[in-house]
Amino acid sequence: MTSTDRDIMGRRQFLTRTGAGVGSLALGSLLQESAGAEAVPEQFRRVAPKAKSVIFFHFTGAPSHLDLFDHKPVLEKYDRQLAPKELFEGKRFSFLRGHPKLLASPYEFTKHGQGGNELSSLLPRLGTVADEMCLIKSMHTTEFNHAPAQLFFHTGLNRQGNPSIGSWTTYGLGSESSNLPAYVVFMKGNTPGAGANLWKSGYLPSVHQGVRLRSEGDAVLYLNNPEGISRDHRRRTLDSIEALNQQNYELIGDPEIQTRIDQYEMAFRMQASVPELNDFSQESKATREMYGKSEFADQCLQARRLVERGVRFVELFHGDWDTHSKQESRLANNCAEVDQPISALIKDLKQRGLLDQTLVVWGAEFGRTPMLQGDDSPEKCGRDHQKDAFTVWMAGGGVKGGITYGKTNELGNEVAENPVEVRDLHATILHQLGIDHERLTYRFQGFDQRLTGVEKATVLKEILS
Amino acid sequence: MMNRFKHLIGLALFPPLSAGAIDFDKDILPILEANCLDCHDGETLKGGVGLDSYYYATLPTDAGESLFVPGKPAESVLLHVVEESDPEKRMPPKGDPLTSGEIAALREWIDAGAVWPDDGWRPPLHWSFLAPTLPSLPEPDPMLADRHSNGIDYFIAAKLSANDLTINEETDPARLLRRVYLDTLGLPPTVEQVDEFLKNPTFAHYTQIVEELLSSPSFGEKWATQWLDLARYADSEGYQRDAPRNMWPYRDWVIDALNADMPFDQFSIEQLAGDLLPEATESQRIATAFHRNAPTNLEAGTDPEEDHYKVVADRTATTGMIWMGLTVGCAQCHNHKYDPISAKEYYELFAFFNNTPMETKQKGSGFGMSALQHIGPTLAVAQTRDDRSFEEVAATHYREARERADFNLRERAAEMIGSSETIREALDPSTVKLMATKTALSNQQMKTLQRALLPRDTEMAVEIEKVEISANRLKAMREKTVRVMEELGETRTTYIAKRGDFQARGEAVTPGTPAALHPFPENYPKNRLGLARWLVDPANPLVARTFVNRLWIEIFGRGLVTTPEDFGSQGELPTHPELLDWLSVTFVEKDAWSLKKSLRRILLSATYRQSVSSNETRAQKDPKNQLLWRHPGHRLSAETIRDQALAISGLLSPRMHGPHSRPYQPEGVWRKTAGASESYYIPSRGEDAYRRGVYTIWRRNNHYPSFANFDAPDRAACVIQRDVSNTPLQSLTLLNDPAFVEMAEAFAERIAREGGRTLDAQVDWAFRTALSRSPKDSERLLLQSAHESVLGESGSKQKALFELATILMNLHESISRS
Repeated sequence: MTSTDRDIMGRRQFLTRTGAGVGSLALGSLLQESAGAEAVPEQFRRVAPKAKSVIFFHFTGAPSHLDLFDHKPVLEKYDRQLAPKELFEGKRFSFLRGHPKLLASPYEFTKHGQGGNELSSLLPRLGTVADEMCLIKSMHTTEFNHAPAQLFFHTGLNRQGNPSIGSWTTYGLGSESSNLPAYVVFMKGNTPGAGANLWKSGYLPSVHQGVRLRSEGDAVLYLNNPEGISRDHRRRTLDSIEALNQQNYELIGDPEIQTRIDQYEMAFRMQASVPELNDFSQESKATREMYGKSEFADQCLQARRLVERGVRFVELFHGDWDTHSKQESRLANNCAEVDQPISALIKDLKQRGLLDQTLVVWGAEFGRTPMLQGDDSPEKCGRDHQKDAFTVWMAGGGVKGGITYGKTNELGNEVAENPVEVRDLHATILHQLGIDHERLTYRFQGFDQRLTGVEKATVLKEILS
Repeated sequence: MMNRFKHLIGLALFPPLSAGAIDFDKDILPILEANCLDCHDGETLKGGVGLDSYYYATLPTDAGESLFVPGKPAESVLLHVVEESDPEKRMPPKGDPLTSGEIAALREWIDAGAVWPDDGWRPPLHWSFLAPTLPSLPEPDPMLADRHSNGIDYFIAAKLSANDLTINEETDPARLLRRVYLDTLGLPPTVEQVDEFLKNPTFAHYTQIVEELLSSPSFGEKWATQWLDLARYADSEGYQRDAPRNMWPYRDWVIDALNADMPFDQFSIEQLAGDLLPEATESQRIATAFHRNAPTNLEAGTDPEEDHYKVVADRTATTGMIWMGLTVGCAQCHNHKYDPISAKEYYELFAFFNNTPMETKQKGSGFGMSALQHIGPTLAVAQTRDDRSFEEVAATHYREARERADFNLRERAAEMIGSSETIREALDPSTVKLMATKTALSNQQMKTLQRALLPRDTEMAVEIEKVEISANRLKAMREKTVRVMEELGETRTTYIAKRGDFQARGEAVTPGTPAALHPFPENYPKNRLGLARWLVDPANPLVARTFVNRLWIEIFGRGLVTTPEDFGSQGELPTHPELLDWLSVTFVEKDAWSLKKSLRRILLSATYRQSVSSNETRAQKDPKNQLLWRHPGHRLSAETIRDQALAISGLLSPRMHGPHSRPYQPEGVWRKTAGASESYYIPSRGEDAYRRGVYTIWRRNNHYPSFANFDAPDRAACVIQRDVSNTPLQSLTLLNDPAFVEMAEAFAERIAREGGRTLDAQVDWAFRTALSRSPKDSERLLLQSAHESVLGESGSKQKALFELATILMNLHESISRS
């Protein structure tokens, strides 16, 4: 076999199941060196890619769109009055029972920037980047419980066992980094209810699962050598392992052995490149101050450093936004924690000319009801889950800034204009990466499975620049 | 497609028509042809609507509706869509709407009974729907002379020969022995066992060893893994709450049934319907936990009805994949696009499983983050002496943890209060009383005290929470239970859920099996027991094929059908169709459904015993080795990688059965999840931490990391074949996971203890312990110099041997079968 044949076979061997030829190329580039843009398989492409990377925020528990993004003056008029029957009759809720009351948002809403995107006073700093943001106020989903809704938002299905959008992305595009995982996950606060299923690769090859960067212990699980083993020592150990593997390859000729050698090398490189992510000594004082000082701020800064280094998909989970009660204080705390770092991230990306090629997404599994849940008092009350209308927003990556797309009705409980399905959002994100969502398929259980499923998904052309 | 029409037009099946009556052929067909077939022919089938054959026209649409209801134009969707006033929704979507004359004709035709003459066309039967028959054996190829070949080899050699390929040479005896040990027991042979075989490496001796291996109790522990993946067996509920669930008596049932070589038909019937067998034994009822393994959503605010629907859908899809090799789940939302299963037939299958009690209910009502509660049928299982010994360990653990927490809490509380009278006086009287308690505090009391006095002491709070987790674990062991299936006395009606939405009730259906498969015997009851018998009826064209295909996957790493979850028309064709059928028929008729007999045949074949080595010329002819010109060595499973490392390090516990074990994993892998139970992982201590992988805790949302890294599925759903990836995380796991580091250290100690006096002897012994075969000179030299280099630098023999152990445990060959 020539070395090219061997390489191709090596890549093929990643996919031990047959019939996924295209994926095998992307997969090869995921883990082998020198994968540039030319490695993007043509089959998936339709348009020139706008974005190279995605930074995907998921606010676990579901923030109240009515208190952050979607201003409803009518609610102020009917605050704490009994809700009209059409709001709850014949609908299913997680906790609301009987005849609930309406709840106004206590926050002031202000229009920002030239585009006039409206945000509540809880997010003052995001206001300074409002002209980069495209608010989508007409999202809706099918699930009203956390785990199924989180799964639906990430995988397009409400059950466990399917690949997440991050896995689909790296399956489609591979990685541009030869010493970092292509799909990186951060968590601040509680683990989301659906757990690791949200960044697993489901039926896609498991190289596409997200790798969690931890803030305690090893940054990547098992990254550090055992005590007493230096990097030099490890290098020599690896040389011995590789030399023996090479002898075995010469005897057996199985290309998997070559891949194994490559993986040990990548592991060794990761041992240097992962800790470097957290080394902010090269960041200017101004940059550090812009993000602020907190675990989440550090994660946001690391996200920028990751996309700079060619990582394809970075997901940041932030919990806990499930404000059934004590909504006021909890929202205030949460917003104070995320407002500054996220706005800093957008500015930072912009300053470095990275925002055009990085799609930033703010998402959650659903929204919250205009109906009040629990005790009437401002300190104690909250809102229940709502699947029929909520807000997500995007910035950068070829999405128009300073615009709002879609509308909810007067009370914010249903979409009134331009409804957006989760699969539409997925199709749009993939489209910005240069992927045709209908062609990004993987054969499993006899079907060409897709992230966007069998029903029609629409790329939101109106919001693209 | 046009052929179908010719066929149709040529038929004279029309019922006599009265004068002036609508003529389907003359009046209706042309309307459909002119307006509908662009999207609704038998190929495109948009929306599940096909208007070019009787077969498709009379199937429900994807939405679960009938296109036309004879005599009732008002209820006929066909008419609604053409009469629609909104042009966005009207059919046809482009071009002019139908004329009023055309619409009138359709109405009249429906009114008159909507007679669509049966053109007799049906989707062609796919190969897998025809029952296998025993093919005659090909002539033995001369290349098989002196190779101790059997029927399998005849088929393999014939195909190789036809492609100008030959079978590889026989593998060397040491590799063969390691291969067969790993394939039967999931454990490597010891150096002594290898030596024993090398003394007399004959086929007869090999046969005798295979016989012994098949009767080892470790056999069931290895082979259970594949079945547990299918059965989506796990120790937690899944979804947000992901609470622990007690299912291990079922896991032990599987191990025991495999060891006893329970015939697969019985194995199937007991799991699907053991509770319905006359005078069902405890063991038969435990077996029904098979379908209670489906994940359950106990997240607060979940609708129990929806959960019930999801669980039954999971059971239907899983049954379809395992016993029918079909993706019946596709028909949950619409008629199967490719295989002859309509949405209605799906729900008829679903109905077999729908007659079980509700499994969850809301705890309380109204607001309160109260979770759902499991209320499904549970069986208390008789305890064995083994169970009690596991329980004793857990009890000791619990007692110690509790005493420690009690002590720490009092100490910290005292420290906090110090000598300050002000604090003491400000204390709540109940707190003072608790502090003065002389006897051990209950878990609840500890919690109360901690919250009152040390609300910010998270370390203490975690310690108390861990005590609680240990208490729950002990309780679960004491009340040894398992979830089982039970049939409702009164039948629950099953409705077609339109588009898979359980709230959108369509037509009511009764239990039934797909028409394209073998008939359901009239004397079988229309319940799970009848279904189980029907599934393992030798007339089922799919049951034996899917079984032997899975057997083939376990041994050769890929199936004769490479899409084992789909034998339908979208699946791959078998690489060796005659061999597949020969194995299938032999499995049922000759082996009487015995896994071990069929497996023995594979293990004894020359195809199995051939070498893995590759060769450029052959590789060019068949790069994927689909024809098996060499043994396809492949990576070991996650569990086997761990078990093997435990075995060679001497740490492996031989203890079988019982509650799950929790091998060491770092802090913080399990994290707090809102609304979930058990946020903290408490590693097992002592021998329990070194049990085989089949006993490792399987928590769906927090999978044991090294297993996840080596592609063990989280078992949220039925998985027929695991992925086999090759990633840097695997390298990091083998090098740095403290569990593997500990095994390497123990292996190093064993080398010092048992490996002989000289370095030469130690290297040889270590190499043979890890890989069975002896090292080549170049390999020996390399290992010696690695050892010497660490010894020279550190002056520590222990470190030098640890280096040796680490290298050996990280080799590609070590984690593969070759």
